[in-house]
Amino acid sequence: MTFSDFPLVTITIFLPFVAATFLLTASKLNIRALYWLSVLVAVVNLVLAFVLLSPFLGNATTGFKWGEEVSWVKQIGLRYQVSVDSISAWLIVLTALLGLVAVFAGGGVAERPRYFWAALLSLEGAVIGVFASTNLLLFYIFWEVMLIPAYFLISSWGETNFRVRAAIRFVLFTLAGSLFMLVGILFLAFVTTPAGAEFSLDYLQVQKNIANLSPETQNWLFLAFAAAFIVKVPLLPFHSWLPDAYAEAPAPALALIAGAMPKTGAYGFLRFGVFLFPAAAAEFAPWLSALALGGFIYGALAALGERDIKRVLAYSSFSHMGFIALGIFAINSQGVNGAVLQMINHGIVTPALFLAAAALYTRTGTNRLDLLGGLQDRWPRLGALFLVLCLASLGLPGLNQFAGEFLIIGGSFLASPIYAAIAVVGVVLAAWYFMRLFQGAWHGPKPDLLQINAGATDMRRAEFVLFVPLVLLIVLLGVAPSLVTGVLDPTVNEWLRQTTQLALGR
Amino acid sequence: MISSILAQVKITQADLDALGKVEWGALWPAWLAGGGVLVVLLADMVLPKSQRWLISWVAFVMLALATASTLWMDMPQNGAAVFQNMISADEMSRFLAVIVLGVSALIVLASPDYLSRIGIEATGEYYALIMAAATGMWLLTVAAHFMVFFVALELFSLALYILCGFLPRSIRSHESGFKYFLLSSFASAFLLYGIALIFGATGSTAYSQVQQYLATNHIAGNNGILVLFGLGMVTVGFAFKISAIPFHMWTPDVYEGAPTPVTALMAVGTKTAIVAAFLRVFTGVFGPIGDQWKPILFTLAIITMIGGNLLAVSQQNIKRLLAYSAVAHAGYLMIGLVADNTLSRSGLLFYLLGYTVMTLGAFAVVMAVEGPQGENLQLSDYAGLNKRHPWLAAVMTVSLLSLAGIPPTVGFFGKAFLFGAAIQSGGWNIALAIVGIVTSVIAAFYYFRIIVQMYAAQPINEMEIEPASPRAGRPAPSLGFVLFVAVVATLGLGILANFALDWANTAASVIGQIATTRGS
Repeated sequence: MTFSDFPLVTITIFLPFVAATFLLTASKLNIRALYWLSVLVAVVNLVLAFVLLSPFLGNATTGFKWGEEVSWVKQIGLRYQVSVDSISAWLIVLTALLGLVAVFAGGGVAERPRYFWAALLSLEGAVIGVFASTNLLLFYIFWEVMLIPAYFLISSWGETNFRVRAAIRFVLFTLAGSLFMLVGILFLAFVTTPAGAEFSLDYLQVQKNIANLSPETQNWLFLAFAAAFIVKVPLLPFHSWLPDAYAEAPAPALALIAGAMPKTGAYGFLRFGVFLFPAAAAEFAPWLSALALGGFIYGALAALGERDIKRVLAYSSFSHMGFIALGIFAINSQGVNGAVLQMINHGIVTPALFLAAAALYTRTGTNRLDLLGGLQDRWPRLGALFLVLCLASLGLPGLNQFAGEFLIIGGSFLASPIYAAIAVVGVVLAAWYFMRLFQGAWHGPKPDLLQINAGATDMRRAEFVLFVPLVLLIVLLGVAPSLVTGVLDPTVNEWLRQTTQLALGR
Repeated sequence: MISSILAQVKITQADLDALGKVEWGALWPAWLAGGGVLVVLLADMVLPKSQRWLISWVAFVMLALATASTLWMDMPQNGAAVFQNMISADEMSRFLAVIVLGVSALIVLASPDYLSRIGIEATGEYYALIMAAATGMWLLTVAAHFMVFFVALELFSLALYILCGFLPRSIRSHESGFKYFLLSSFASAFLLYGIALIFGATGSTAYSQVQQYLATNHIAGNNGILVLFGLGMVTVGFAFKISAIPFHMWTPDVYEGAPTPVTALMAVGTKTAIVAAFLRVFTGVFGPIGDQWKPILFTLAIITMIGGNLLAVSQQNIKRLLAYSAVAHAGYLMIGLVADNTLSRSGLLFYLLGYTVMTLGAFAVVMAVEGPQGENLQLSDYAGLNKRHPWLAAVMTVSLLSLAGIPPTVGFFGKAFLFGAAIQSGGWNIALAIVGIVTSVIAAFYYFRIIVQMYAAQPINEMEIEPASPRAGRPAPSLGFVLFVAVVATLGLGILANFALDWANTAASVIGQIATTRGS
């Protein structure tokens, strides 16, 4: 079977874009038909993503598989190069899953639904493109393309009048970071290319060339790249765009904006930080770990202080991303494995929580914890769903986030026991604010009944279709995290071995 | 002294042969565009009033033919100058003819709708002046001699003075024309005096001979002072014409008052012509004394990028905002002059091409939205444009994203090439790239502000915004075609940036050749 001749990665990236273009222009067609078409495209893309993952399953395959290459703007080293290794393949599967969740959950959007689905699909395509690019400038292009649909999702379908400011702040923060990365990439094209060779930004080629640079240059370049990722993840002092953006974005869009997009930052730190500049990354790892840890604790404390469910979840998401970054900067097998596993876990739980919060909002009309309470006997199934999601998110053993947290703390302990000790405090805080969230809405005194849509029923069929698979996934990955780590482990170890060798061989 | 200069200029047999020969075929674009002026004026006299609408089509066809004539214009084999070394007929001339004349043709196409809405009767003169301006702009880009350079500059400047003040009942338009006339003449005087000083020092006004003099003598001796003064004056004229800060004061007022198609022509055509002409002058003629002018342009570029973008942030009028955006882009363009390597020259030409199509797209939308008395020009008038005219909003969005440098549009690649060239040239020039990056973030703020208005904001007064007649609802087909071309080019030149850059590279390679062809 010559499957590998088929431009499968390209199709996975561009199928959503093609569908989005079609949605934008198809003004005459029936809106329900367009909805199911979008869902179908998302399903096909998920299947394609699994096909991309398939070569890595069940054996210790490392390095890049699949992949296409087309010459593009050679004068600045830009080639269209896409390929996947098991890390990016898993993240593409996650993105495709979240794209499906987003489009499926976005069926009920009232305002300009065609455009909404188109924006979701193009965001999905752009994020997959980010994960699949093996040319640095192509990576940058997809990175920026992500901004446009994300901007429109927040500014046009945001929930309050504050949405425009939130969207602009999001765009400016992200642009400010990523443009430094552009300078870094252009610098790499012109400076690392050996004399006489054609300019190249091929990932593997650049990785080899970097060892020839002086340590100072490597450090500056690493910082230029880190500027982009630190905003996108985000780490501590650069997070101020996040709570507003997450609080404004509609829940279906958050599946991608909070579920998939921060992963591009963490992935960037891993692939274009730790694996590309091993020496510089090792040098800055303690500082970045400190920021990550600070974000983990600060996010948890901020989540404790919030009264709005969406903002609690936003800070919780920010806090957990800091935890993931901590795993990456441990720069060892446990930490990195744990971080990638946790990216997937976080990518499933966070969107589910936001969507569950939205389901609650449609019934109660408020996100304020102090106005809610005692809803358990009114909508027991929705309450049970909340409970499972909260427990998963706070890292209960048997649910998915536990394995990732365990690996990250283990990796972090190997790198620095003190950081690991502080991280444990953050885990405890996470338990605290999630229990507070759950109790605030579902237990305790009953709220003013006027607030509540009395006719609202418990979970509807569409909601079961949406949430049951997610909960099953949460349980499955909680019981058998080796499904993911078994595939990741050889790749992660191989990259770490190679890059350490390169860094030392200089 | 003069005899010594004459001794330096060796006259070969080939030069003497060339004296007898006139390469008419190398100037096809100028014959068609310049001759078109006469055809249009004639048509204006001959045609009855009911047939006047034909005039715009005559003008469009002549300009389109002029653009297309680059396909059959004669090129000397060695890429040398023609017309006794007055005109350079090379790949760069061809490239710029496509930009300058092509964009003029599109602006002519977009004009009738606008003119009839504003109520301008004298359409014949209008089109004739546009074509005269286009001819002058193209001649400026192909000049190989400071005299041709200056005459071409005056040709299009004079046409633009009148065009800026063309709106009969608008005081702003008159102010615009008068202001442009006064300040621009002042700058032209500087330029001319600079040319005179350089002539005094080098004994010639031909590019190749000035360059040859500078290559051997640099700024040594008494003549060196004259060269430096001349260089300074020419730089002032240049900075004024491309509206670099602090010579930018006229730009927002003139851009705001002029009829919108004329503003578009100035923002796009004039800027392209001036920058391209100075690409020949600075990197070609003054190339040997690059260490003298590069620090000046370096400083101007940095001030212009920072100031232009900061000043644009607070603008409420879309034409003023685009004027300051044009100022800021002048700063980016100057990076291409200062970095001065192969990538910077081809990147500069590429950027000009990209800047042309994206700015044309933005101005075409402004033309379509503008009302008969020059209303609907505030940013708040764009509120909810997406609901009224989704396609206009989409074109504007693509143009603005490209101006902000978001991939995969042409604006991103233009910036990547110019910043890349600055990084490639190394040293302090890296600061240009970093300032360019930081100011791009500011630029994104004000471009996104317009996008926000179009998509997210509600019109202040729904009733007033409603179109008065169904016709006001949609742009005329010809304007629609311009919008279509602009948006397709903005996206297409981005996705196919490699082909466009190769083309620009072929065009820019002539700069390197100037030094070698006449050197010995």
